Amino acid sequence: MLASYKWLCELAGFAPDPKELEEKFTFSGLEVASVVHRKSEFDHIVVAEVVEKEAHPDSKKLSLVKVSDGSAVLPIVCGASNCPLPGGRVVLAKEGARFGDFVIEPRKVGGYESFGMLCSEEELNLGPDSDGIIVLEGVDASLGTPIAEALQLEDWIFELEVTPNRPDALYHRGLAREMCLLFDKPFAPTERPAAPLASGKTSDVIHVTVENATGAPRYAASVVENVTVQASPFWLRYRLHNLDIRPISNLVDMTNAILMEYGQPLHAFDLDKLAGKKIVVRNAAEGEKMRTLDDVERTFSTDDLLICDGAKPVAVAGVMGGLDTEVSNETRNILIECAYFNPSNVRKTSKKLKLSSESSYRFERGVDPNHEPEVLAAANAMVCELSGGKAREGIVDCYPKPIAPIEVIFRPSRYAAMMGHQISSAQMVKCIEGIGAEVTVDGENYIVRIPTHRPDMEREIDVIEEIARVTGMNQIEAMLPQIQCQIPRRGAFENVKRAKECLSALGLMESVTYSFVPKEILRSLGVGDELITVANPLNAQRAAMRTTLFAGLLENLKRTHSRYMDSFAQFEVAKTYHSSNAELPTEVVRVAAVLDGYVGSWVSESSRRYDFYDAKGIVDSFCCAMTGRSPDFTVESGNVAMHPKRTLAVSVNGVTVGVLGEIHPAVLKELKLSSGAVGFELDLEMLCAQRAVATAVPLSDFPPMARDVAVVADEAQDVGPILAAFAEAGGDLVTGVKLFDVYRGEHVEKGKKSIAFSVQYRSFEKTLTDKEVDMIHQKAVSSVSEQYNVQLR
Amino acid sequence: MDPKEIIEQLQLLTQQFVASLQNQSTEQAIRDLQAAYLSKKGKVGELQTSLGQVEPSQRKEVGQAFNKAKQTIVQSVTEAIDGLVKRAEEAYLNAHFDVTLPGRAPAQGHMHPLSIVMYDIVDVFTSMGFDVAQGPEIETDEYNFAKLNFPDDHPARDMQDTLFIEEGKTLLRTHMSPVQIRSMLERPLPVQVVAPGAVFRRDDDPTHSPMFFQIEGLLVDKGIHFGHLKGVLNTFLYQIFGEDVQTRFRPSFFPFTEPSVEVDIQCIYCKGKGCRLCSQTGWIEILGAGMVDPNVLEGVGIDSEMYSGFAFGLGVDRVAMLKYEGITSIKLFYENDPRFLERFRR
Repeated sequence: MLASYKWLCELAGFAPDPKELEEKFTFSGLEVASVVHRKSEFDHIVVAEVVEKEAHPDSKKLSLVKVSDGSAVLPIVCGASNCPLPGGRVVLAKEGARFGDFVIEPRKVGGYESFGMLCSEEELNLGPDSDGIIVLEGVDASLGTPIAEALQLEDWIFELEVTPNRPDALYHRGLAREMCLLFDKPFAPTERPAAPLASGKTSDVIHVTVENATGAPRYAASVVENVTVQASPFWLRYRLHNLDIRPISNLVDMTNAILMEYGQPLHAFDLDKLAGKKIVVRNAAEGEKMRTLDDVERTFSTDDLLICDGAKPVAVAGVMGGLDTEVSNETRNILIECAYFNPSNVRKTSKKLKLSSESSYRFERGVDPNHEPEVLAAANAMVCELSGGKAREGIVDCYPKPIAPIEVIFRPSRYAAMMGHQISSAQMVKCIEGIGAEVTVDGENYIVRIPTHRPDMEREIDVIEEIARVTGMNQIEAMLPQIQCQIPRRGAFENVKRAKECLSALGLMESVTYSFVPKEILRSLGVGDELITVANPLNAQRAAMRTTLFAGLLENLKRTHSRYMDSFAQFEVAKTYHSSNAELPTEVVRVAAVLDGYVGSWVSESSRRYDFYDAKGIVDSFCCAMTGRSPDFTVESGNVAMHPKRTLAVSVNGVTVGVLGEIHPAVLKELKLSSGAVGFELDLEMLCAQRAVATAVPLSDFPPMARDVAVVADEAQDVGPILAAFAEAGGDLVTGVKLFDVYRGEHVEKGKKSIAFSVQYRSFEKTLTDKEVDMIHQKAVSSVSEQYNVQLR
Repeated sequence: MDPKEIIEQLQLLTQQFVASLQNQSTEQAIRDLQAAYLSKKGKVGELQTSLGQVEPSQRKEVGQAFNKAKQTIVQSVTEAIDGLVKRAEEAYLNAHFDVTLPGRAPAQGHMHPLSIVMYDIVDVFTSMGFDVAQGPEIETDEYNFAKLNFPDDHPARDMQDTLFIEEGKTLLRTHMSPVQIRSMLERPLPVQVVAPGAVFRRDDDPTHSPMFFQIEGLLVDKGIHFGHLKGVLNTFLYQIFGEDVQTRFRPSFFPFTEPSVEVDIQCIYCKGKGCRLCSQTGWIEILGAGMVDPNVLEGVGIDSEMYSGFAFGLGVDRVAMLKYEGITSIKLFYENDPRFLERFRR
C-alpha cells in the first residue's frame, strides 16, 4: 500500500515530522517498508518562459529557443514537437539538475549551444506523459520559481506492508484516523461540498434488483449527468501517479481517488450503454461469458456473482467491470456503483478467474458496509467538480439486512493478564475510541461497539491486541516464566542427532536435499511406483516426493563431478514418503550415504578409490555405534538400484534395516556417471529400535598365543566362511581370527588366491604352551582345509 | 717366554685395538672388534695362553699387564659405544625435518550448516526446559491451516504459497505450526516444546527456497503473558547473537496468534548504523511470535480463559545466513557443494 504523506496530513488536519510518523506506523503494526521523499530530485528545475523560437536549420525535429528564468535568457535546443511559442511557460532543467546519473550542463545539441533542458512529465516522474514537454497553464508563479514550489510537488510516499487483518489501512482516511490516534489528536476530516443537483432522482433512471443478497449484502448507486470526459487536473494526476496508479481520465481517476481515500472500490458505468436502465445482481448461468476491461473473454459458473443490465452481464461483482459498458471519451451520463460484496465470494471468483484487482483485493479483506451513502456523496461531488456534470438527487440503495456493528465485552483486567502490563483504564478507552469504537462501561465489563470498518475485530482478544499495539509493545517489561520440569519425549529427535554425529565422526559430510525429486530418478532406482506427487509443483520435473534418499545424494554426486571434483562422501538423514491407506502418507526417517572417487591419502601413500568395503565398514561401525550390536550381512541380489553381486542386506538383531553396496552401473549410467559409486540406506527408526544395553565380558590375565595361516583357495571361494569355520574349529580357546592378506599373483596359481590370517588363542585358566596350541591349530587347519578344499601354503 | 716381550706385544695390541676402534660405526662392529681381541681365540686371548710359560716370579707383573690391557679395551669400548649413542642422539635432534608437509588427519566429516545452527537453537530452548516435538511433513489442510485459525477463503492463506499433494486435503506443511497443534493435542499441559523441521512453500528465487527449515516454539500454561514471550525470546537471542544484541518488538499479524509481533535484532554487522544487509535500517527481522489465539486453544480443547500461551517461529536458514558471513544465496544450502559444506567443519 502506497500512501501520500501530504494527503494524510490534509485528512488528519496536522503535519507531523515524516520520520516520526514512519516510526509510529511501524511500531503500531503498519510496517513502513520505504519512504521516498520527493523534493531534491527537482533541484535546479524552474518555471521559465519561451522568449524566442526558431526552427533548427538542419533538423525538422529540433527547434532553437531562448527561455527566460527571470534572471537570464538561456539558449536551449528543444526536441519536443509541442514547444510553445514565445510567451508559453515551460519547465526548465538548468545546469546541475540531475536525472539519475545524468547531470545537466551546457553542451552542443545539433551543432548549437544548449544551456539546459525543457522537461516532459515523464522525465520529471510527474506522470506517464512522454509525448511532449510540459506547458504550464494557470500556474501562478514568477519566472525562476523552483518547480517543486510552483507545482507543490514535495511529498513523502510511504510504502506500507499492510497485514491481511487491517483493511482499514488500505486507504488514506483509515490511515489518517490511525495517525490521529497515534499522535493523540481528534480525527475530523473536512467533507467536500455537496454536488450540484440535476433535476430528477436517481431512482427515476435506474432500477436495481439484487437476486443474491448473500453475495451482495449492499448495492448502492448514484447517477451523474452531462459529464465532460477529459484529463484530470495536474494535482490529481500527480497524486495518483505517486501512488502508482495511472491517470486515465477524470471519471476513472475519480474512482481511483475515492478508492484510495475511502477504501471503497467504485465502478463507473456508461449509463447510456446499460440496456433497459436496469441493474440486476445475480449469479451467473453456467458457462455464461463476458469480456472484462482487460479485454479477456471470461467464462463463469453458477458460483460467480455478476452485475447485469437488462440484457447482459456488465461486471464481475467486486472483481472487474465489463468492456462494453466502460466509460469512454464520449460518455455523457454515468452510473456509479458503490457496493458491499461478500469477501469470501469475491475471493473465490477472483481465484478461479486468476484475476486479482485493486477492487477484489479490498473486497476480500472487507470494506465498510455502512459508508456507501457517504462515499457516493463524495464521488458525486468529485465527479461534478472534475467534469462539470450534475448529480441526480438521492441514491438507489439495496441493503435489505443492514450489518450492525458488533459488540464485544472487554475486561480491562484481561488486558493486564494477557500482556503482563498495567495501564490505566482511561488509557485503554482512549485507544479503543481512537479506532472509532464506542465504549460503554458496565461494571467490570466494557462493552465495545466495533466500527464496521474494522471487520477483523470480533473478540475481546482483538481489543486487547489493539490496545497493545497502540500502546507499544516495547513498553512491556520482559520477564522469564517459571517453566516446569518435564520428562523429555524427544527420543526420535536425539536418534537423528546421534546418527548425524556418528556419520560425521566416520568421515562423511552431511548434505540436505529437497524432498521432491524427478520421477525418472526414482524409477531408475526401482522405487518409482505409487509415488506421492506434488499437485502444483514449481517445476514439473521435480514433482515426486522421494522414496529413497539415494535420489538426492546421486544428484549431489553428479553436481560435484560437474564441478570438477573427484572425491565424494556425503550422507543425509531425512524422510522418505510412501503412499498408504491412512489419511496421510507414511513417512520414514532414513539414513543414507553415497561414496565415490578418491579417498583422501597422505603425501607418498598410494591413493585409492572408495569401494564396497568402505560402505560395509562404515555401516558396521555405524550400526555398532547406534545399537551396540554388530550388523549381520546377507547377500541381496534383487535390488534394481544395486549391483547384483556387490550388495548386502543389513540386519541388526535379526531385523533387516537396509541395504549397502555398489550402486547399479545402469543407474549411474542414466545419470551420466561412471560406475563404482557405493552407498547404503538404512531405516533409522528400525535400526534404533534394536538398541542393546552393553554388557562387559570377563578378561583373561594369561598371555595370548598367535598362529599365522596361509591357504590357497579358488578365486570363487569367499573368505568369510573360511574364517568363520576356523573360529568354530578352533574351539573356545580361539579369541580372534584376523584376516591380513588376500593375494593373487606370483607364486599363486592362476584362478586361485592366497588367504592369510592370524589366529589368537588364549585361555582363562592358564598360560598355554606351544604344544597345546599347535595341536589345536593343526586340527583346525586340517578340518577347514578339508571342508573348503583349500591347500595350506 | 720373555715377559718383557709379552708386555710389549700386549701394549702393541692395545694400541692397535684403540686405533681400529675409531673406524667402527655401529655398536655391533665394536662388539665384534672387542671379541676379536678379548675372546679366548682373540688376539689378546691367544697371547694370554703364553702366560703359562712365564716365570712364576714374573707372572704377577705380566698378569697385571693383561688386566690393565683388558680394562683399557673394555673401557674404550664403553666410551666408543657411549659416543656412538650420543652422536646418534645428536644427529636425530639436528637432522632437517620438513614440518611443512600436510598433516595426516583421519577422515573428518561434519554436519551441514543448517543442522549445526538448528541444534544450537534447539539446545538453547531445551536448556530452558522446552522439549522437542515433531510431526509429519505431509500434513492435512486441517492441521496446517484450519486449526490454526486460517478460515477457508481468507486472504491470510495468501501469506503462504502452498504446495499441495491433494488440493484442499493434504499438502506439504508450510510452517511448523501443525506440530504445535499436534503437541497440544498429544501432550499433557503445560505444553512447552520447540519444533524444528523442514517446511515447504511455492517460492523459488535467489532469496527463497521451496524447502527450508524452521523452528517454532510453544509454551502453554496458566498465567503465561506477553512479558514472558519477550523474556524467553530475548534470552534466546542473547544466547545466539551475543549478550549485547539489541531487540525490538513490532506489532504484526499471524492468524494463529493475537496479539502478534515481529522481533528485530539490531544489525549484527553495522551495529545499527545502517548497511546493505539491513537495508540501511539498522535492524534485521528475525522472529515472528505472539500470544496463542484463543480460537487455536479452544480448537484443541484447551480452556482459553484458564490457560494462555505464546508461540514463536524463526527460519533456520535465515539465522545461518546471519551467523555465517558470505552466504550469498539460500540455494547454496541445498546444492551441497563439498567446497561450501567443508567451510562449516567444527
